Amino acid sequence: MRREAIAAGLLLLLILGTVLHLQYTDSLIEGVEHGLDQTEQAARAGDYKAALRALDSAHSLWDKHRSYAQAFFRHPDLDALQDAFASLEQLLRQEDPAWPAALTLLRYHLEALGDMEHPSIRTIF
Amino acid sequence: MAIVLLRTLIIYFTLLLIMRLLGKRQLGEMELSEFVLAALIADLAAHPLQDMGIPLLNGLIPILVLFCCELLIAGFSLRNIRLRSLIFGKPSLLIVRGEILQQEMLKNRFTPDELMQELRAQGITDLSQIEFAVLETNGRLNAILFPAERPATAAQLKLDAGEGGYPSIVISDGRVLEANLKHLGFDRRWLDRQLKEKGASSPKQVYLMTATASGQVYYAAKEAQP
Repeated sequence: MRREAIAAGLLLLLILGTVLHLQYTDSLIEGVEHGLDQTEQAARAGDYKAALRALDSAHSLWDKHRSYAQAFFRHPDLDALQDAFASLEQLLRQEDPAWPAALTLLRYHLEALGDMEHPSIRTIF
Repeated sequence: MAIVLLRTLIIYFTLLLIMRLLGKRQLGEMELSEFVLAALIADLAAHPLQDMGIPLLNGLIPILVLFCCELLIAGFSLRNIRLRSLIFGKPSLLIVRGEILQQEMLKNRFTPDELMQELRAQGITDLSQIEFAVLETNGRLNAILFPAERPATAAQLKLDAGEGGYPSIVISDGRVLEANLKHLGFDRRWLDRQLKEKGASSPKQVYLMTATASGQVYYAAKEAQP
């Protein structure tokens, strides 16, 4: 009975870990998205310097959790997110009017990371 | 390259630990759930080794989950006959008193060729000798011969079979296993006497020596090194 109890305990621990991971991931993505919202607001107002500062802040927040992200997310997905950050930064520096598309792509990659962690019919199958 | 090396070591030792904890049954004849586990674990372990883009935890967590499920299923089915039948099935009688049960053969998708193959593997070529043939839940076929066809035992022939006993290793590749020697009730003086009888002056000259509690000894000297 002891083995079964240990197995059940370990399984519960894994389930609990999954729930905590989901909460952590959601909170992290929400934080980064808040930064991206500020980036968008500043860029739409024509203040590219402020937009870059907001983007840098969002990127730094993501970078702080990079070790955690690399332990749990597929690396190609993380690489795609990094590329999207770099593309948006470059466009904002150049004050290129194509920045909204780059921001949309960045948001897409970020949300996709979060979506793939949430169990649903789509993600399971 | 260092990453590949480290991942391989982590996965290898994790699997070793998991299989050790699951017990000897995994290494022998496997039941259905055990076979599923073995097949899945091997594949899961390989993915993070082949693709560095996959987090190591993506391989380890599923292995842990499967390990827990197997322990739970094995544990509960041990205590619940209905659950055991549901998961592992029931043994099937394929031959009863020399007669092949063709409906059971069909139900188990067991062909006559396979039946003969399994019986030959047990040294049986004459079906008329078989009282019962059972297809076990792990896929193994066991045949029980009619009493008249079974090999006679020493007791049936009223012969003295001598003392039995469980042989324990007392010297393995030159090394004396003191714990086994003590367990058998012998000491180094007894061992030295045995070695002297076999013409050895030291345990280092012995490749393998086993003994039973009744004093029966098997002795194999080390071969001369080239």
